[in-house]
Amino acid sequence: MEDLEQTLEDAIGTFDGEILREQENARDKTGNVGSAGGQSSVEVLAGVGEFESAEDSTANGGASSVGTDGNNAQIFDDIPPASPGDDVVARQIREAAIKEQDPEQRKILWEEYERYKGGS
Amino acid sequence: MKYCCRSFLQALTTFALIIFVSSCATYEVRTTDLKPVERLTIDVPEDLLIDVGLKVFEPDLEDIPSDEIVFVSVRESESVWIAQQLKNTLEMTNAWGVVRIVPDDETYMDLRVDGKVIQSDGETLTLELRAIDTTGRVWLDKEYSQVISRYSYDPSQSGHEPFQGLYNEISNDLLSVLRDQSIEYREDLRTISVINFAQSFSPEAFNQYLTLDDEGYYQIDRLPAQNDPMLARIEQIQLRDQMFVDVLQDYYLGFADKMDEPYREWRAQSFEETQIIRDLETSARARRIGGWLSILGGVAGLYDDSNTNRLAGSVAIYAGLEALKSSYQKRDEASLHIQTLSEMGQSIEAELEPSIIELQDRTITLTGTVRDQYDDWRSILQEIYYRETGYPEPAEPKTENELL
Repeated sequence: MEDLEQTLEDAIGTFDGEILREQENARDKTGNVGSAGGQSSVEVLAGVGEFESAEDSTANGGASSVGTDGNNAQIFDDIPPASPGDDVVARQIREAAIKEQDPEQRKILWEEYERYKGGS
Repeated sequence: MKYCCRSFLQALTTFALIIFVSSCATYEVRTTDLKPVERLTIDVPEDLLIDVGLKVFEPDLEDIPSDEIVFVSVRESESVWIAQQLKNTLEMTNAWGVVRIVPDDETYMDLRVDGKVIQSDGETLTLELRAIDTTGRVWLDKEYSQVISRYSYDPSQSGHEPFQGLYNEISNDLLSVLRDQSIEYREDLRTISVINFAQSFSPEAFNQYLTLDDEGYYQIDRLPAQNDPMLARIEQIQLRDQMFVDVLQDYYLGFADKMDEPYREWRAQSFEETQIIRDLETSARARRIGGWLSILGGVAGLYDDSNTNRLAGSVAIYAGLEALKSSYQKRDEASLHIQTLSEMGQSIEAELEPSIIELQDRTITLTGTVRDQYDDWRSILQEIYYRETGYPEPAEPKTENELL
């Protein structure tokens, strides 16, 4: 079982490398910084993408809950709405900021989001 | 008899003159009706935003009317460029999640918009559009068309997309349907998209979560456990799929940016030429009809007893012949402009062709490579599923040789 998990993990890792190279290639060719700012995104991919169930997703005024292993995180007032142009990395940073309970950590993530978006 | 003949002659000549005179000027009444794009002024909670996939528009090169001049590379380029314009417009509304241009039906989004370019000549843009959500419900199935005025290409309007009104109309229609959707339905759409994606990678593990309702639309039967390990794997893959689609956006955006200036110039020139050709053809047709009527009237006058009428008949015949001659000149002039239009088309075609071929090659190759990779992952996930559940793997179907 572990061997299959490892095979899948390796294949995904290889894919990450290839897709990031392709991303750089696309931006080199087109002269776009694109919607992602051209930065490495591998580190922000780890541990993301938890399934959001319909049961846990409820509209709650200006804040929404995001289901992650039973822990609900609020969208805090200091996190502005997502920009429609956000790419997957920007979305992941934003989601991480939304889930972060510690205001200091959240501030760092939010600054990272702004810095990342600033490159686009 | 004389009275009758004279009346006929007068009526005919008057009719011919009316047509002749009217053919000398073409009146055109057009309005610049730019519908503003509606925007949401409130922030929609993150988990209620619907992601939109705009499939690259079909160039519809098979059903082109014989009198329409269409250049293959231009139309194929437009099919990307138009999708990019619509994407930009939808993103302005603040109503949607991510809006992405997707290469085919195999990208799972909450709402997918398929379009076809029916006509695009700088003056008229006609698009056929169909929007369908992840349950299978059709949101829009409509033809949109906009005819623009000369003013749209006025230098004072530079920087404005002449057909923005059409994109706004599509965007407003989609927003109108979105507004009718309940919170629960929006949540379901997002969940169904995830399960659909999961099903496409591991049908064994996820085929029991969705069912079809009485009308044939997907509905959620039950949800996977939040700690489902297979779901966690699928989510990792879905993230990679989003990265892949993001890379495609860079290619599409780069291409649209590159073609923007030459395409806009060509479109403005094409508009001018199309107008001139239509005016000349209309004028030529009217002069031809007027000329023949005048000749017929003149011939009738020649047989009249009155010298005056016979003289008038001769004048009418002469005028008719002149009108016919003028008609042929107009036709020849129109042919020259058709040739100019054709040369302009060949020029823009030569400019766009290498880029659109490169874009198509790149996106098709990348999509093919990614999808091959996905097939490998499907096989791994299938093996994991059977090991994890302990269910026996279905036997491989026998080959023809084994059956013999």
